[in-house]
Amino acid sequence: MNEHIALTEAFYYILLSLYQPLHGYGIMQKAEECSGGRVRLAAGTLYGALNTLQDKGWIEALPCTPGSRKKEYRITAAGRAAVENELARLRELVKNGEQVTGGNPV
Amino acid sequence: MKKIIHRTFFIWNFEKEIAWLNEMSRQGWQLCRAGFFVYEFEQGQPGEYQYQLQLLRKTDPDYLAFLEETGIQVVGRCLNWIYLKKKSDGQPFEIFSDLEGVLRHLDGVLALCGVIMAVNVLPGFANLANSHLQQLSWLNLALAAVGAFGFCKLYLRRRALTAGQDLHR
Repeated sequence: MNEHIALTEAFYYILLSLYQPLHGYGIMQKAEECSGGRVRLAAGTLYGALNTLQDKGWIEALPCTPGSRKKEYRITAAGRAAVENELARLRELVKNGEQVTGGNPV
Repeated sequence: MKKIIHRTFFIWNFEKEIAWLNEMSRQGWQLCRAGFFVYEFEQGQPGEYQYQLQLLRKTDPDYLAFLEETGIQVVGRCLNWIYLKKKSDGQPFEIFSDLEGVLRHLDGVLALCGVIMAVNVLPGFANLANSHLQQLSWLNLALAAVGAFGFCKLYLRRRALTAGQDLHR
């Protein structure tokens, strides 16, 4: 049941950003870039989201490289599955919406 | 050049305090230290930094390191309140970009007002009958009233923020 709950935009873009290992600031930049500047993740929100995603096992922290204090994160197999579920849900929403409206913008 | 300003902000007015710090920055005064009712500024570039305030529920060194990693500096601390600054980049400086984060933070401040109210209301009334402790009792009751006022203000602010959100979840 849980996998059908919609992801928030913040979680969705964080997961997408982490298909490549990134640190916190890198995730902020990537999410902003992916969304054309629309989604800007603030530091407090991102920190809380990263902890939640780690607790769910959807992302993992990579061992710190010597001499660097920045922690990098990467998506896990469970995280990829969550993204796939979300994509399927979004496709269904778009398909149904277009069937009803004819897909024409108002 | 430095200057020290003594000013009081009630905890439910932390957004006013942020606005004042940003106004000081626009005038070229950058915060370098903050404490109880005292702010120390040093002269710098007008608008060079933007400021934020956050009430921490617990001290998490990882969180402070994470803030630093994202270009945010802790410039002062007063109990569990931290004063944060970030170089201005033309975008608003926020700590939370999601409503849940904003509400969680607000809940922390609400709880603090509740604690101020709770720890003062009982001794306030209990000592009212004791002539030796009557002055202290009035002080307790005044603090309890301040806590209650802050609690109500923040509760209304919280309710306004959540109004109409169900439609957009």
